[in-house]
Amino acid sequence: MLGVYEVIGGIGVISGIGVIMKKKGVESVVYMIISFVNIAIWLMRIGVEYVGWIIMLVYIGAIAVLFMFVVMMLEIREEERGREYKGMMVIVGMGVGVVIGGRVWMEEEGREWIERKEKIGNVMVISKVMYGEKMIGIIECGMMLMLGMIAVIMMVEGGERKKEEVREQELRRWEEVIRRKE
Amino acid sequence: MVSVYIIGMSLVEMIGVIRRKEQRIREVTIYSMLMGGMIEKESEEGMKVYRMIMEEEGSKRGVIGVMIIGGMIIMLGKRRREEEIIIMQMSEGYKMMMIGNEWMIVYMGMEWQSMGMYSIGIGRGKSIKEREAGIKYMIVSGIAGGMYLMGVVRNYKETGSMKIIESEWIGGRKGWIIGSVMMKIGVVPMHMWIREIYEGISKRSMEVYAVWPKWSISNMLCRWEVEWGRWVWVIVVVGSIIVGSIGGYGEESIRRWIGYSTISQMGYMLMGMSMGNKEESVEYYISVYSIMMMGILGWWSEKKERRMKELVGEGKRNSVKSGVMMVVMYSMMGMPVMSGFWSKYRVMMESVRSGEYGMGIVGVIGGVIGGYYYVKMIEVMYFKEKRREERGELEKREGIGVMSIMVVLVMWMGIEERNII
Repeated sequence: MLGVYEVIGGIGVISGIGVIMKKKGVESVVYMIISFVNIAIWLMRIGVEYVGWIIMLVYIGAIAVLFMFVVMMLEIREEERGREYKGMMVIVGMGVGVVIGGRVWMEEEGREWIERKEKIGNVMVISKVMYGEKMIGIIECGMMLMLGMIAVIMMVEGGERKKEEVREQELRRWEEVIRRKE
Repeated sequence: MVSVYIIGMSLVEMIGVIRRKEQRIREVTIYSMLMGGMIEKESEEGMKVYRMIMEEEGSKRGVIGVMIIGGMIIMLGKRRREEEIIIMQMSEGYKMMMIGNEWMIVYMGMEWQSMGMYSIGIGRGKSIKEREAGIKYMIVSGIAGGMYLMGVVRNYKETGSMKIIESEWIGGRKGWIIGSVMMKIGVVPMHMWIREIYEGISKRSMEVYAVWPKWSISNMLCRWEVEWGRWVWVIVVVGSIIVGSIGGYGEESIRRWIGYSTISQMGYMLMGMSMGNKEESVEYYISVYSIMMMGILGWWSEKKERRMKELVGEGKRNSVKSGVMMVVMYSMMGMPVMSGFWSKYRVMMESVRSGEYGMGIVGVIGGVIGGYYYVKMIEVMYFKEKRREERGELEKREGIGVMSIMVVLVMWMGIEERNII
């Protein structure tokens, strides 16, 4: 029987394999995003919306896009790293999948854990606590992050920066070149 | 309207970030710290917001004290604008520590203030010593945070509650929490970091490290109504008095001298922590200690000297300042009339009342031994003749005002001892 979970999970697994099979870096990042989206939707379907949305926001919105930028900026044309390990990686991945899936298949009795959904979603509960009951805590967390930012700027920036003309830099460079020649 | 202080704080930050040349920001910070905290605590709206994660009552005195100490720290002298903003933010963390009603809220406040402390300790990161000291403090504080979390987990497992008031003392289950707090204020089993970190950090950082955490943690402990494990308590108090008073005996460096003095004073502070009326003993002690320490810092903030022997002849050159310093020193030692005597008297009476006579005796002996190195400083300033090199005073530091207020308070709190609390 091919249900929604199987289809979504299958697409996730296939695109997960695609991440390591593809030669171009950009393509594998795209496959990673597809895999993440599928996992997120799968989690939302089984009633863990909060984690699903977190994966959407954090992994897809931030980390995958960051990967994408890095890959595009570095311009990795050919897949160079890990070519010799590719076969091994596939085998290891399939092994892990078999172990985890087998355990789930063996231990699972019926599918109630998927169908059991609550009337109010997790997001509602968490957001009620976060933005209603303990709203000040979120504000304080924001202030804390602000402190972290200011502290990092303070530590990195140091004292007043020394200004230097381009001409002097060039001259110093030429002096070095001359010294090296001598 | 969320909270006056938070909005004011973010405004100051915005001004500080956008207009970096603005000179007024220091004054704005001082006034908002001195006034804002008190006003906000009194106002209805502020209370209503804070009641979500904090208690209504909490230790109001402690919060007001935190704001005043923070304002004083900024008043001590000119520092970088970012540091002022960080100090302003740290005060919010201290408030959370003192009036939070859940263990995790207190943890958040604790991490908040230590995040500020790391960055202030590391400072500009120019000298290796500062960096080393800041990173050492980070490690110490990280270990303490881990211990705290461990304690919270164990406590939750036993009691099933994250509230501070609901959970009860079950033999030694809160030991991890107490241990982490001990580590933060640096009493005996975990006192080793004080000496090294105080030696390394800069003078501006020292002003933050010396008074503020001690004040807030002792107020926090007063509020928790923690019943100490008896032996833990005895070992901590006796050990820190002995280590603090003997360790500072031959100490030449002024910073380390302040460190050892802190250890022994914290031992005395914990002496009153047994049971009964903590307002009378511990809160009085810690307020007197903060006043004396702020006096010393006000005196020291303009000095360039690092060693004790460089202070020779100080009494003749700066006679007024040295006289004021002498009063503070005698108070620190525990001389009558000054408030330092009454604070020690009160905590010792508290320990005797709870049946720990030995602890009172150790306290008296420790006071006599430790008194030597306070007197030694006066002796060096007034009665030594030779001086190797002259050192000018630091510019742009303004500790003299703070110092004079503090010395008046030291005398006043000693003379009016009967009428306080």
